[in-house]
Amino acid sequence: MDERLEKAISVANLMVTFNNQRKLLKQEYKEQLLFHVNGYRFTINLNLINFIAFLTSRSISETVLIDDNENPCLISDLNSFLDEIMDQYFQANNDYYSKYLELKNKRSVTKLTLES
Amino acid sequence: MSEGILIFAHNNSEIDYAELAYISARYVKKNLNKPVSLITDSGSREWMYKKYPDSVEVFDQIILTDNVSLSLYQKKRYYDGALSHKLLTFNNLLRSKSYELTPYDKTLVIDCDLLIVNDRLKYIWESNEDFMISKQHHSISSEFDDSEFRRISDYSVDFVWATAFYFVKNEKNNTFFELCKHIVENYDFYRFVYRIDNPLMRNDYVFSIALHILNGFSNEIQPVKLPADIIYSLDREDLYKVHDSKTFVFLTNKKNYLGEYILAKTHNQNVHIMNKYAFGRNADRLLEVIL
Repeated sequence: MDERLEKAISVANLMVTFNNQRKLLKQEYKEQLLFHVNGYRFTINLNLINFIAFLTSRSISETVLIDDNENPCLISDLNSFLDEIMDQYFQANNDYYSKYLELKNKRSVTKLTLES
Repeated sequence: MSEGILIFAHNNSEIDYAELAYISARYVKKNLNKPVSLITDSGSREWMYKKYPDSVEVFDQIILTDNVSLSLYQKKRYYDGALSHKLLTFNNLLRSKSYELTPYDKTLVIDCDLLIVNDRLKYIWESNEDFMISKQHHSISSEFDDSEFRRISDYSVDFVWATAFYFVKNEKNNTFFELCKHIVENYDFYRFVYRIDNPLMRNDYVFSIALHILNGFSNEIQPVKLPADIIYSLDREDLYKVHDSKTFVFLTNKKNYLGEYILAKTHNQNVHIMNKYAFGRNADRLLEVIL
């Protein structure tokens, strides 16, 4: 096989593996963004954070939110709810960031998958 | 209310389902810290006792179903990677009897080939929902076309995964499981009505049909999803290496190249390992890393 083609195929294998690992990492990140309270589930995103921050800035301490399953849920302490979702959000983001950097710096299939 | 996990396992001539259930139970107990009960037959139980004497302590209860109707046995093609398969006996249809068999008021039912490696499913116990099941699990391979898991056939209703589901004992859920039993008993009719090509009766199909019927013959009402995602690795793929109790390396199929694989590593994600041979090959290592 032509050396250039051989090299291209090996890079292609690396790219497929890298993209697959990135997809799995993203799925893990999405799972980390799920927040559970009083038996209800919320996906933490900027919309949710901004909305709660807006309510707390208007000194509103209690509200009804609609969870991921479209059920209404009474949040009686919005300040602590905001603290908790922000903590979890930043923790998930930081984790995603460090793992992504780690992934990006691995330049072989072996390093991407076989090294622990 | 009592809470626990239920696993079904019936060995055949080659696959030691009880061993998979034993390993799965060890992972569940470590990560969810709840009692686990096993539904099995006396042959599978005795084999497990010989191999793993401590299984008596691992399982909260072992419930025998020796009087199961032979009509529930089917033949299934078991793959071990893309290029190798065998036709073996398959007994997996007692799932629709979960309601009457479970010793718990709140039950999480899981496949014996599902490895729970994180604690995210713990939120089901405090949930306000009485039934949870997921329509979407994620393939370990980004190249896999998952259309076969979106609908039960090209012309039919949405697919739900019976790999893991949660229910609370109540009248509504009793009706659901009674309907599942009725579908199992009259499967040829339902297979025809729901235009299912695959002759193998799968719990996924039975549950999908039952949910469709109970939702007023509608796909519009979405079942409540489990609080954790599940990644699946097909039986045409392979479990290549177990790094530790949370990190596994798989060989996943390369698109359009039968028998060629790419490596994929999962970490801290619940994985459904459909290749039972691969699961069995890694049994010792899976147990070693969880100790």
